[in-house]
Amino acid sequence: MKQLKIKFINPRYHNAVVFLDGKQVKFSKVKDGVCEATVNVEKPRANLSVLTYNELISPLWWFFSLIFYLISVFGLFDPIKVKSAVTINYSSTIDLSEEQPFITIKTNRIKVGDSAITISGNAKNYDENNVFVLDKTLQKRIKILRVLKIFIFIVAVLLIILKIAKII
Amino acid sequence: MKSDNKLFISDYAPGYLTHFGLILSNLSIVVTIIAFLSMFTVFIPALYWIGLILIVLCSIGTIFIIDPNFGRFFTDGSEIVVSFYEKVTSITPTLAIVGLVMVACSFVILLLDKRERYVGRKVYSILMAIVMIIELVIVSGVAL
Repeated sequence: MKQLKIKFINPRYHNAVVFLDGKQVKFSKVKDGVCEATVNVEKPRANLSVLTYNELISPLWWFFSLIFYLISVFGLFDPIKVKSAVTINYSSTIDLSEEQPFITIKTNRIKVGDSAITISGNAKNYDENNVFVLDKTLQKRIKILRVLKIFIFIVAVLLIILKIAKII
Repeated sequence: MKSDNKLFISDYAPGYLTHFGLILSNLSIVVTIIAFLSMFTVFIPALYWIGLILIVLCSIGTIFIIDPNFGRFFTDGSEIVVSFYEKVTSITPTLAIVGLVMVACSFVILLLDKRERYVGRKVYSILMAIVMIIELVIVSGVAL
């Protein structure tokens, strides 16, 4: 069994999540834009995947999006706003033949079709997929939400105006 | 532990909780500031003016069409300010309690987040919790 040290630079930038042999890697809290994890691996090679965490991909995306929109007073107090439908599609095989293998994962600047992740460290990696992808489903959901939010906002403004008019 | 490189609904739960905590933290900033200002009588006319401006902004100016005499709130508002003052001072303890609950909830939720530290928000929550408690003590003392 070997211990693979993984350092992740700026994971919040793309809301990226890392899987090693199909299991989600739990990182330490982000400090100075860097978080770390140590994973025990039994095989000499491990499959590494990096995906984008996005609330709009979840099965209950519409419910939570609308709830948060209303709670945050029409998005005014909502610090998380999903605008981009670009997601990371990364998978590779990591060679763990080194005595103390370690890798550093760094996310690149978003551009559809460009490489999404840069891996460095003493453990060799063989990329299978490494690209930023435009998620069509996500794009559709962002559009649906935008229309719904505008509709709700207009209805709410009309209701408030009517209410004020009644009071006055 | 989940497998197959997929995120399940349970994996999204901590993210949703943090998202809610961040919204609550942002809302608590507004509530605690209003609660803090309402304790000082000099700020109450300012709150009144902010309220009026917000009504105009939210209605996109249509309030002047709905109520052509809406301008009276801006011009001869001395009596209205007095009644507003009475209402605000009566709800100050409630505002302080709501603010205290909000900062406490947001602090606990953000403490549960395993990815980010949110040092600034946590420090603000602690400071505001202390301020709200002091405010409650003062307000209840005044009431006594």
